[in-house]
Amino acid sequence: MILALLGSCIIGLVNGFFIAVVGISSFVATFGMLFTISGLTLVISHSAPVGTPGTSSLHVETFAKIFGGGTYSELIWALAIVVLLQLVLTFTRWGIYTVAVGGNRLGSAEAGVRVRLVLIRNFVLCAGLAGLVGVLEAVRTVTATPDPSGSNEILFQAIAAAVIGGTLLLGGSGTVVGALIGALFLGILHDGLIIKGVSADYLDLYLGLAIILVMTINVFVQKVRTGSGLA
Amino acid sequence: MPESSSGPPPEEPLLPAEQVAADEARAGEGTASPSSSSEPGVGGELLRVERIAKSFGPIAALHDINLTLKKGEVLGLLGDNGSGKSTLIKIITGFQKQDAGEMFLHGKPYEPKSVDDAREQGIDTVFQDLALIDELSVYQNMFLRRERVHKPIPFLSNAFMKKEARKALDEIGINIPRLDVPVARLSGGQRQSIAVARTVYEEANIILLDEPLAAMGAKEGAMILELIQRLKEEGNVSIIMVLHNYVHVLATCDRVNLIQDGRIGLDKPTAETSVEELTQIVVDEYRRAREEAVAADTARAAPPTPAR
Repeated sequence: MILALLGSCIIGLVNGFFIAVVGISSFVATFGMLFTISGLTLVISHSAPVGTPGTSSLHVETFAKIFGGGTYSELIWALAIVVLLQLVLTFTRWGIYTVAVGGNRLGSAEAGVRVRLVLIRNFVLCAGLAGLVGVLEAVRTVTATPDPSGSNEILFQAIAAAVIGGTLLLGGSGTVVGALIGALFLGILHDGLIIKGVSADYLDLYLGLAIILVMTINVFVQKVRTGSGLA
Repeated sequence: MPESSSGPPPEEPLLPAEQVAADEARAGEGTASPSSSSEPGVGGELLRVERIAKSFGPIAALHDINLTLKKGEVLGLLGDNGSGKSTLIKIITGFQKQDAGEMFLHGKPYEPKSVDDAREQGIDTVFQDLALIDELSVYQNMFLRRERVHKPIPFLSNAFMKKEARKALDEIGINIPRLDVPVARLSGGQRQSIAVARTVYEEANIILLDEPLAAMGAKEGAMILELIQRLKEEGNVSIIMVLHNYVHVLATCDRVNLIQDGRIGLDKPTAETSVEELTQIVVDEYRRAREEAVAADTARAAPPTPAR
């Protein structure tokens, strides 16, 4: 597991290098990396699923319970990370510089912030967290399946959650708590629709429409707030 | 309390040998005769910029800049748009590196490696774009890269920074009701005053101000000029200020330098110049530039350009 997390961090380091030093846009660099790594997993696994070490489909060990196997394991991890990162954002230099570089790269540099370092360490952090999600999912499902479409579903859900939570898609602004609310919104909507007995064929349709509706309301509320000077 | 800078204290005079060397160097300068300021509070040389050149690709922003700043002096820097004023400020503050030339601080070679390095040596800057982060609050911006942290765990001391930010803004006399709102919601003048306040608060020996009155209303502008006047009277800080308004220059600065064609074309105490003279120089410059453009057009055998 440690190796998996370390590997993820190295991928983040490579992303960070191309974005901060070479100057490729973050969207393009990470997109390219997505294809590279998806392809690599297919190659090294010969396209066959592998059982996750330390797990068993018959019996859930304590290790597995903590790292994704337990009923609330993933939720607890998510909440813990949200609290931790929100504290980092508010109470540490790392957090302030992260917001600063996201908001105004030139201004941060002029103020003396080491922009490249901030970018690289945040890409390492993101990749490390993505690696953790991978580990949690692999433990939960007991196998690591080299199926790009399967992993991309989680990816798109994560991006959707962040965007619904107010993160700019091209980077620069967003909050941890916002992303959590976005994720909860998506999760609750998804589960709620299933509980209501909505046909699986209609599920994504309803989800998509609900996202558009909510974001429309969000924009409207934002306009009212700033217009009245309360924002 | 603000951290003290690692550079020599502002009171420290130049050593005799350094003074002699500085005087000799100044005597050797071909361009822009050095001027002795008649202001009583102005002391020995603090910063000297020698033969600075900087190009961006094919465009030469600065050719051969020679400039001196004396202790306690307020130096006004004038020049046309694109004349390289901001580039010079950025070089002195360590944000950009010159292609050629040297700088001396307290008579010793001064080669800032970064903005942080320049700040540690006592040179702080208000950039033209203010270097404010819209998403961060007023006090977070005021202490950006100057954060105060608890010990031993380096968590930010937000309450302390809020209190100090309030104090610094009160001192300037700018009223910003709430310090925990993002600066995006403030007016241009308020933003400018935050940028100025954070530099003044740092107690640098040399403050560089790149158009500190841009985006400011008359009232806020007057407050900033008053603050500069006050700093000048205290005599602990020397200031280089890029300005556009000649009246402001004559009212606030001890000396004025005008950048023309990447060189200092005029170096005079403000007492010896006037708005008329400065205006005339700039009008002449425009006329010359227009004549050159017309001549270039004619030389290319293009249809003659009608004189406007």
